[in-house]
Amino acid sequence: MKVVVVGSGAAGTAAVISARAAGADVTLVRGRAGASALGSGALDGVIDDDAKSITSALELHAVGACSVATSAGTIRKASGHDLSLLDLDQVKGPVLVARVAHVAWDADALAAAFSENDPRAFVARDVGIVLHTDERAMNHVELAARHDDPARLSRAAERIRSALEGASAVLLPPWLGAAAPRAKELSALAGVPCGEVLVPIDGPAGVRFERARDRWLQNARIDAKPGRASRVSEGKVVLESGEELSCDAIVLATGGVLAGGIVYTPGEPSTFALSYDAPVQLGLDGMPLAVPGSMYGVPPESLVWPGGEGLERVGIVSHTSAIRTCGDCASSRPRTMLEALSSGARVGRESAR
Amino acid sequence: MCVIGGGVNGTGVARDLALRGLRVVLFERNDLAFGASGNSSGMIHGGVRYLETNPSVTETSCRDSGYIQQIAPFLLHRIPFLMPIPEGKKGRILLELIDAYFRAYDNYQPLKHSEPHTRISAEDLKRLEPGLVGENAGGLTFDEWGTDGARLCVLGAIDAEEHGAVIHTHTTVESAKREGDAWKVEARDLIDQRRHVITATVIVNATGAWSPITARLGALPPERVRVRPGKGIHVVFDRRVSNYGILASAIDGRQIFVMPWQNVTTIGTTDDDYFGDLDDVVSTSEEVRYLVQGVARIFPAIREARAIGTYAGVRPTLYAFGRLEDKLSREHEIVDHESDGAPNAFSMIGGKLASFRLFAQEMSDRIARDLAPSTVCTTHTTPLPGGEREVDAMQLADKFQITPVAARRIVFRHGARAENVLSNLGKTPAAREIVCPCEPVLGAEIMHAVHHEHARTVDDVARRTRLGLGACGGMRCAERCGQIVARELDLKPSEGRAQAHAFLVKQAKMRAPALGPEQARQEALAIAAMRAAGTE
Repeated sequence: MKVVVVGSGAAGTAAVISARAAGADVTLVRGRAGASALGSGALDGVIDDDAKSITSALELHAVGACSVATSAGTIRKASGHDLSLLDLDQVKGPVLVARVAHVAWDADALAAAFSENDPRAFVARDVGIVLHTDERAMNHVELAARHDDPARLSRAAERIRSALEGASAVLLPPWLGAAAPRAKELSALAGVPCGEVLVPIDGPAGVRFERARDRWLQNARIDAKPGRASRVSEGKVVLESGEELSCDAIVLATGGVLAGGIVYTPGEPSTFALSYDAPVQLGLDGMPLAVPGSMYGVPPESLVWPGGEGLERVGIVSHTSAIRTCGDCASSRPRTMLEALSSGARVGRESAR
Repeated sequence: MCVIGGGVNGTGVARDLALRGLRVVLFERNDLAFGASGNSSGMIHGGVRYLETNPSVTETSCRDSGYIQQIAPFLLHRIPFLMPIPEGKKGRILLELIDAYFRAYDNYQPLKHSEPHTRISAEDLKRLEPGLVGENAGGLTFDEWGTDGARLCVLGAIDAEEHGAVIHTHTTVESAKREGDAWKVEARDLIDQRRHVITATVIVNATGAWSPITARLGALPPERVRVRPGKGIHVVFDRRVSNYGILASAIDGRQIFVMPWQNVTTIGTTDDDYFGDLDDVVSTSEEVRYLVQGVARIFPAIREARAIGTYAGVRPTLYAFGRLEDKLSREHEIVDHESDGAPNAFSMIGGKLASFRLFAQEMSDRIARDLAPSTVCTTHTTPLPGGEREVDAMQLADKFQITPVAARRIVFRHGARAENVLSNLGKTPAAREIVCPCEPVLGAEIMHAVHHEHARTVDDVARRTRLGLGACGGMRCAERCGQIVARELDLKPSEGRAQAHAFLVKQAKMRAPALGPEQARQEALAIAAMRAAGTE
């Protein structure tokens, strides 16, 4: 079977992995970065065997119930996490929140916020892991990349050890690796569990996903075409460059509104549209989108947060054996990393049959 | 003196009375500038549109605009306007007529230090603003002054306070009763539930569209202070999309505009009778379409621009039945409640941002006539806090090692007091942090707003600094601002988070009606971020 997967986020990657595992000849159309590249590192929802098969292939996540601390000052449950995030369920005693000289990190405010509703004590203490003045305002991802350097990481471990004073775990800014999660290495060096705080949108977890995906694609020698699809029909994908790919099955994993796979245009009766031509139908909550009773389309007030979340509920509703969909571009699925991995794996496997 | 209401009228009269040496207490139910004052077009304009119906409004507006420039020059920015006159059967004649009309307006221009109008050709119009479409007979230019209504209120309140006034925000008056020769006023703080009971000789109702409600609390007949609330909305775009302000017509012939304002573009405004909750005024997508459609007819690029939000306010227009909204008087009026059996109680009805100082003076003169006849008004000569001298933003940036953009914006908001704001920089590492990158707003300014400007919530900080009102909609700064507010006010961290959340919900609600393709992606990102943080 020849399978073309359009989209290289979590869902597309999962489809590639499972289609290849099922013996298909897979081509991947790689567009631009989307929702997965902005991921926070938390896995939400139900973990099934499909999702598990992908997480073990990517070697990026720990699966199972956990609690992560967020930069918003909350501690929240998740079904799994990026390996660099600290799982507080594994921690009993006091937690050290590293105070570092960085403009986007206030350890004292975070420690106070975590302590408010959590029995574990959180204390902020100086941990000198910012080594240069230019790093004080550097973005998280770049600092995470600096900690890919083993020398830098062992230096951080030294600083952590000397600040521990009996703490049983250490919460750090989201700097533990861009190429791969480095928390495990750091924890071994420091002698206690060390991990990141979750950052909702601009942390390094999304970059780590991209790197893990690229490693897998390279090892598996997957044919990856850069660019976007402009037209999809049964058995054929046409790229924006004009190149045509013929195949037996197509997997659409082009993302939702956030990734740009679905475009919202107010003032048009068809308020939502795919960003490329495809013989599929869009729907809301699994039902085909109705023609609105307004020349101006669906009133935006009814679509967006807070209240409605129509932006997330719109997706492709029609499925054939020749064109399947997964991840955020499919209707009525929760927009989570886990759902993308699971649906991608399932659809990839089906397409390879 | 008890002043109820923290808009331009309330803070204006509080300042005037305090400068005369009278003891003033001000109660504001929400925040300073919460209503019409903080949601206007942000112009101290000369009222050119009233020249035909109410020339006295034009004159007083222009005169007062000049005074405001004297007392707060830092808080004004020039907005040059273009008025294209469409080609057509009557295009030429219309151009002559409007030219003559503006010649009359020119008489008032020196009062507000503006340039006289000029008449320009259709070619020049196109050259000045290449985005304009359609055949024009020609056009006119004139200029007006942009300002920040919320800053005017806050600075007025601060000045009053520095002259002995006491300011209570988020404090609603629950009753006002005559006791002997005085008024006993009871108020409750809506945040910490603290009660305030004061005795005042004079009580001033300066609550704009809320006036009839306030009157009832003092057992005064609400129909004596009747207003006709007129809702007006503006749509905000993420940057300056035109070189000039441009006047356009809406589908019903009403005049609307698109203009560069501070660091964004706004289009406005609507004027519709309002029958809803004054504490919760929201825009609708219909109102947005009405404005966008009107502007797009001559400036189609507005459809491609990225709308990042809307804001809405309710004008406290003088009451009249059976007239169109636009034809209602913009004048102001003082109601003396003596004839209602309530001596020393006054209501300030109507008024405009551009002439607020004058209205406050009239009110204060009336009060002083009986109680402090030897005092005179000095609000037009005494600088507002920050207006004492000019400061150079670039030098400030250099001295305090902050980015020039941040320095410029701080000087716009604080004038000479910018140095006070920046003196916080060394206090904590958070002070140097650029908390809101869109504006930008430094941590130090948030601390200043909390400790010196009566900001008690994230929303209050936003009103004073424009934090979170940029393209990201507060996604990058609201949580952080909540942390800082909580710490500075000794609140629980979760209270700071709740404030941030309330702010984000409000902003999302105000953005929704103007949602476009790019902003839709930003909204989806906001939803994902809220979920990731576990604060949905």
